[in-house]
Amino acid sequence: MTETAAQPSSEPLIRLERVSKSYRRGGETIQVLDRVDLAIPRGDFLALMAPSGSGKSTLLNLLGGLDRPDEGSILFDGVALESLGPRALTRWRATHVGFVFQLYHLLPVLSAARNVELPLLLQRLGRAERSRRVAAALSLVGFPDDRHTFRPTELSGGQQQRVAIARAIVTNPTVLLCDEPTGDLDRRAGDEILDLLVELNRRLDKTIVMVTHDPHAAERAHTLVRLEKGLVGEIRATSS
Amino acid sequence: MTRYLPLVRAALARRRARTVLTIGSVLIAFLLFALLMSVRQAFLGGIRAVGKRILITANVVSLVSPLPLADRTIIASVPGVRRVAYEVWFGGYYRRTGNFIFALAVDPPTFLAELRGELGLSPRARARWIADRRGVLVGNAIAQRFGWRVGEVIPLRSNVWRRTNGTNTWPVRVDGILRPSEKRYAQLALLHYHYLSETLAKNTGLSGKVSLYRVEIAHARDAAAVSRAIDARFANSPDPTRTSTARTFLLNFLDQIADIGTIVTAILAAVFFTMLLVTANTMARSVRERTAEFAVLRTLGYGPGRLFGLVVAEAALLVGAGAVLGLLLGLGLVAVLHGLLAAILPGLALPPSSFALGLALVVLFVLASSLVPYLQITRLAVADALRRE
Amino acid sequence: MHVLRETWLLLIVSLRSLRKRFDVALVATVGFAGVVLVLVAVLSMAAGFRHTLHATGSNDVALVLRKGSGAELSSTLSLDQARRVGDAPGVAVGAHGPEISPELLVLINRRERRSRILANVPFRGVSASAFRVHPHIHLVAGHLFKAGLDQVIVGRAAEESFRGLRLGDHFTSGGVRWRVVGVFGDHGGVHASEIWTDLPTLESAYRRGDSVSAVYARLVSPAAYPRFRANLLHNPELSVSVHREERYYAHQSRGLDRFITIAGTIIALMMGLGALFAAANTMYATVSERAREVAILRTLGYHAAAVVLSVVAESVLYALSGGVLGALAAFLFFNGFEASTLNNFSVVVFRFAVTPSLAAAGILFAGALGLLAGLAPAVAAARRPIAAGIRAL
Repeated sequence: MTETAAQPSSEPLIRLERVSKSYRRGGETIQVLDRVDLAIPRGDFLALMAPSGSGKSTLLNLLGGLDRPDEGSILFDGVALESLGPRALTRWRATHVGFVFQLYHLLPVLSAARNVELPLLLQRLGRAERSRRVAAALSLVGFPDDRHTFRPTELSGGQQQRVAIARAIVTNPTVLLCDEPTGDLDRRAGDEILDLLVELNRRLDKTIVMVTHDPHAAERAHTLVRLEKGLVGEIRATSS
Repeated sequence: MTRYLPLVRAALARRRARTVLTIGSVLIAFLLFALLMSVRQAFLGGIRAVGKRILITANVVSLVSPLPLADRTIIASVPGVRRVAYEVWFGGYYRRTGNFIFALAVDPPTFLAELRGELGLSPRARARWIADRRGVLVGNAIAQRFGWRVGEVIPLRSNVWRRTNGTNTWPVRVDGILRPSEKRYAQLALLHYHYLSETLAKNTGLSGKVSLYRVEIAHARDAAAVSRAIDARFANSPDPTRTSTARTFLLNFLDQIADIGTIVTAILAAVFFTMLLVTANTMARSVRERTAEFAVLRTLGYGPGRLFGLVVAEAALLVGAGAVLGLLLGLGLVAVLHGLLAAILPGLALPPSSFALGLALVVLFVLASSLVPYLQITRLAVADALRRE
Repeated sequence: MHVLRETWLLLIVSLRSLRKRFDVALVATVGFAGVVLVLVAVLSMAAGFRHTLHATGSNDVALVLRKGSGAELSSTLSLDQARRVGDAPGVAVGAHGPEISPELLVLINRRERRSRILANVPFRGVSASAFRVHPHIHLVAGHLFKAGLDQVIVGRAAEESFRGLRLGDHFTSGGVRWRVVGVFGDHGGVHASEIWTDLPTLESAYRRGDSVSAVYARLVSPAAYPRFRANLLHNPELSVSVHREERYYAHQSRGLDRFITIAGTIIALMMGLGALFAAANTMYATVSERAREVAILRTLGYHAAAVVLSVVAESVLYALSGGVLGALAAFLFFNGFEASTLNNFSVVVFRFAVTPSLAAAGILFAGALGLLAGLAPAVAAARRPIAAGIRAL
């Protein structure tokens, strides 16, 4: 967390260069993204707003290396993702990216703490170190201490999303990719999750890319990008 | 790898009934495996123990045709032959023809010299029997079956031979009980050849003959050459011989009864094919149900190889648990059956080699049942899987 | 009545979505098929052996052996003793005198064609009367042996199974070069595994003097047997045992028959348990996939009993189709399959017999397993709270 990293710098963390992506559905080809250019500065909290079907999830998947563009290039910290092989891409994801989903996607058969521990299992860490980090992550997201052993089904939606965020940040990734993180929550729980994301962005300098269709949620980000018909539309800084 | 254990365990706990039933299927397969391998062992296990330096010389016509006793000295003169024993099939039974006893009339010193320690005979009993022309040695299985004790005189009857007095009963005294390591000998009864030959009715036309010769050779590697040499000596005699190793001889006899090996293999193949289908299907379904979970793990940085590893571990746990339980249960059952079937099927025991074979089967099962999940995982489209939820 | 109609509807609905669960349904069906295949195959082996021995003897023929000998092979009678059998009351008398057949049985080594095993093939010496006492023996090729010419006729099964026994072949045994001049059938009996020649030729080839192993006697009627038997047993000059031919052979099949049947049943029961597990697995999968559909139908007023019945019925359906498949496979692969074993040291060639009753027993066994397998999942389905089912998807 250096001084320079605290402010959006001139060299963006992520740069999309003429990225296109299309799907075949039935007989026809649907152009989801059409030569999209986008730069996301380090430390930014960016909200992507778009009507459904305009390719926002696709964009997020591309950013997370879950999918590859048909054309164009995605540069992450100067590294072109399309140049990485499947193995390297998996390793890159494990170190740099944390995902947060609308439906939390916690494993129902594991306790909250075990869910958070999942990404740590991939690193060479002792059991004690793992549980220390799990506890730290859970306390950071404001998850109650006495519920670590609870299963996801025993938790409220807001609590499940906190566990999911703890799981996303426990490996200290560079960027958090959030897909409608408040989409399944009521207003109050949603606000608390947004407060948490803002906090993570400010205090821990996490770069956050959040897809949402909720203007209220988008308001909380630094930067707002509207996607329309596969093209990047308006880009503006929000009030905060 | 143990740190992934909670994940694997959790996956198996996901559908408890399915896990239990699948383990049950594998258990049954391995239980049958243990049982059938034991039966196979009971039939064929003794073969391996048969001395490699023993040849059997029998009449070329068939094993029930006799050979002249005079052949003995000729066989003994063949180079490479160390000792010649002979035996006569007594066709013994006790009281009723149904109480069959595998009795042989033999020349005690040479017969015992060839089998040496294999019979589990005390030196005292051995000496007693050699000196007692009307004595008999009986295997512990038959002694137990009929409640015979040392010193008792048994009216042993023959379904082949008649005595000069017109009966087919030979009173014999039990001089010793055989406690052999080799289960086949537990069913054996041994009489003196001379007792039989001296009391045999003349009109049988079989006096001065023996059923077959047991030829001990100096070196196992000479078996084929010595066999040929013995048969060559008798090629132009009234009773040509056929000599083979004791192992070949025994194997041929057992093969005539039934091809136990093939039957066991065929049944086991059917069993394992079916159970493999069950396990493979369980794994495939389990992975398919968790497509979204696997996608999430991919977003957390789990590579396909690691996910596949988890599936293999899951399959290994399923199959391993079933196999271990099945083999343990099989061991117990075989022990029980061994006691119950001692009279009909002696030597029922799970051979140690079965465990190695069992392990190989486990590995095969695990790999085969992970095949479909492997394809599912490598073809997993993470983005699609997450959207489907 | 309503419940049955509901059951029927539930079953139809379930089977319509079978395509989605094709894999598990297939596994259950194949599981049952495997069980029935093994069960029917093993039992058909026992049945085939039993049929062969039961087909051999007839009711009005008696078999006379030396006392104390349980079988022909270990029995020896002098020709003189044999003739006395013909004097006993109850023996049928034909144009050629009393219908008795003194026979000598020796074993000779012949290699099996397929396995190359050296088998103990029975070699029987008979006289012309043998074909009157055993009328079921009939020539199917060639001609009868002529006395003193070292000619033999061979049973159909022996011709098929052993080397050097085809019509026109020669083989050497007992220092004699025998020629196969005819082939005979025995209507499925054990004699089809034998080689026959004339009695004096066999006696001299194997140096048996003028002894025989047994005497077969045709009686005037089955009812004449007790008097015939009593007469021979009380004759002080004879020391013989007397058997009804039919029973003598039937009795020999008992041990092996029982052993195979017991072993086969144990194996089938265990495999059945395994198949039951597989089927229960299938039905659990079916039930959980159809949870929502069942819940909706329950809200419409369908009975829990109908749910139970439909699940059990589906399980039984898989079992029965598996059973039919297995029985069919057993019939295709094993019916008529030729095997041999030793009976009294003599080789007996027999054919596996997949009879309709065996197939039916196998299919019923599968049905019962299917019934058991369906019960627990069915009850689980019926007990599931309706609300939970609706939420399930």
